[in-house]
Amino acid sequence: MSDSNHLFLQQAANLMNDLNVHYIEAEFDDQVQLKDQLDQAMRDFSKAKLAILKNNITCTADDVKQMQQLRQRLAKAPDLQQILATVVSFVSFVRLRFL
Amino acid sequence: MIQPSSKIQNPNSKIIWVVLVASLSLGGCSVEKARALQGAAVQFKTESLAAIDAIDQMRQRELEAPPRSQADIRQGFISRVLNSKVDLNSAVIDLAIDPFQPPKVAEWDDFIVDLRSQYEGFASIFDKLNSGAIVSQAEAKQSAEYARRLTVQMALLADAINKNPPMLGQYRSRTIVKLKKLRQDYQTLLTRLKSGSDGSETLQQMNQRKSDLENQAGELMNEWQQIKQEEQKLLETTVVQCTKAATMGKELVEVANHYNDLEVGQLNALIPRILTTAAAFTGRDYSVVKVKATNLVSQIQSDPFWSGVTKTLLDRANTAAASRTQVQVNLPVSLPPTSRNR
Repeated sequence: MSDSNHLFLQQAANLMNDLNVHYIEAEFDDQVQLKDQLDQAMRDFSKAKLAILKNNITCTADDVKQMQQLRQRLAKAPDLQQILATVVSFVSFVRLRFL
Repeated sequence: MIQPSSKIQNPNSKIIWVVLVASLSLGGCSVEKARALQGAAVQFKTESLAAIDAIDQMRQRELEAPPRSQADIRQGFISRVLNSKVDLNSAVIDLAIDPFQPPKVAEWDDFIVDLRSQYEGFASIFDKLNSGAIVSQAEAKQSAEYARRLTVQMALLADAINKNPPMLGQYRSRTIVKLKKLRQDYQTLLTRLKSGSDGSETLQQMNQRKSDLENQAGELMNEWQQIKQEEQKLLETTVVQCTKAATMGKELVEVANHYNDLEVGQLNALIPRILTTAAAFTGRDYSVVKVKATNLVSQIQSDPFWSGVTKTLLDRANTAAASRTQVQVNLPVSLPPTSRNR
């Protein structure tokens, strides 16, 4: 199993942690806005992990870099709309690239 | 003692399984030999089921939220609903009761079901034998195939999980949020302490609160370490159990492969060795298990007796990987509507 697989999962898991932190800290009305996308992101992250455990995926250095960039984008997100946009990007990336 | 060398290829190892099962179901002089091997097969059955349960438990815990008391759930609901401005509907009420409910992941459900069905396919032949029913050749062949596939899958999973340990995401996030809040309170208090009492709190009260916040930070350090310990325990339990099942399956199938060449006495000496090897996997020394898991994967990939099944499983995976889009993905920024506030 490549190191990139491990690094990718680590970055993706950290991104999910950051996202969960934003969600827990959000007001309830914002949680209502975020929940569907958060669930989708958790689902796709879990599916990607399963694919890696089943040896279905070979990640590249670019995949790891994309995850790092998304994480940076989430850290800088100034409002709910930007957080949501980053989650949508994460979901689209994982789906198109891995699922 | 004859050592079951997996390098000596049997032209059709499934036939041996048929001989073994036929011996058990029809009786005769070889029934004693078959019974000796059946003991190990039943143990493999038990270990495989425990490994599947461990994998299932691991994937559920990775997504779950920390438990909350009924009082917290009730108070949280009251606060959310009464302060909310969004339209109230069933989905919003459910979310107000439990905003941290993890999503269902159908692919994981299917994967666990598939592992369990392989296990049941392998196990059913022994249930049938114990009930005194006659087992067909086709059923015996199928059972042997399940045993080999389960063994290879458990070996590959043990290695992959070891390299990609589980993480209790929602537990970690909850503690991070508590620490962030605590740090903010602490730094605000320090600023107030520097500027002296503003009348709402005495200096003595502020110093007491400072000390309380410092103690709480220490408690959160313990909470974080407990999460990490829990993750390590989850990792070790799963990898140890998968490695145990794979090791036992490998030795069992290899002994079955030499079934015709072995005398009852030799089998009676080999079977306890298989059981002892499996019993030795207690997880007390995880570094040894890690090495064992990696070695198992190398062995099943290089040994011609096992590499066929391994290649089939990995080829299937590679085909899936090759059919996936390899182009650079442009990250969209548009937002879809959510189902809760449409």
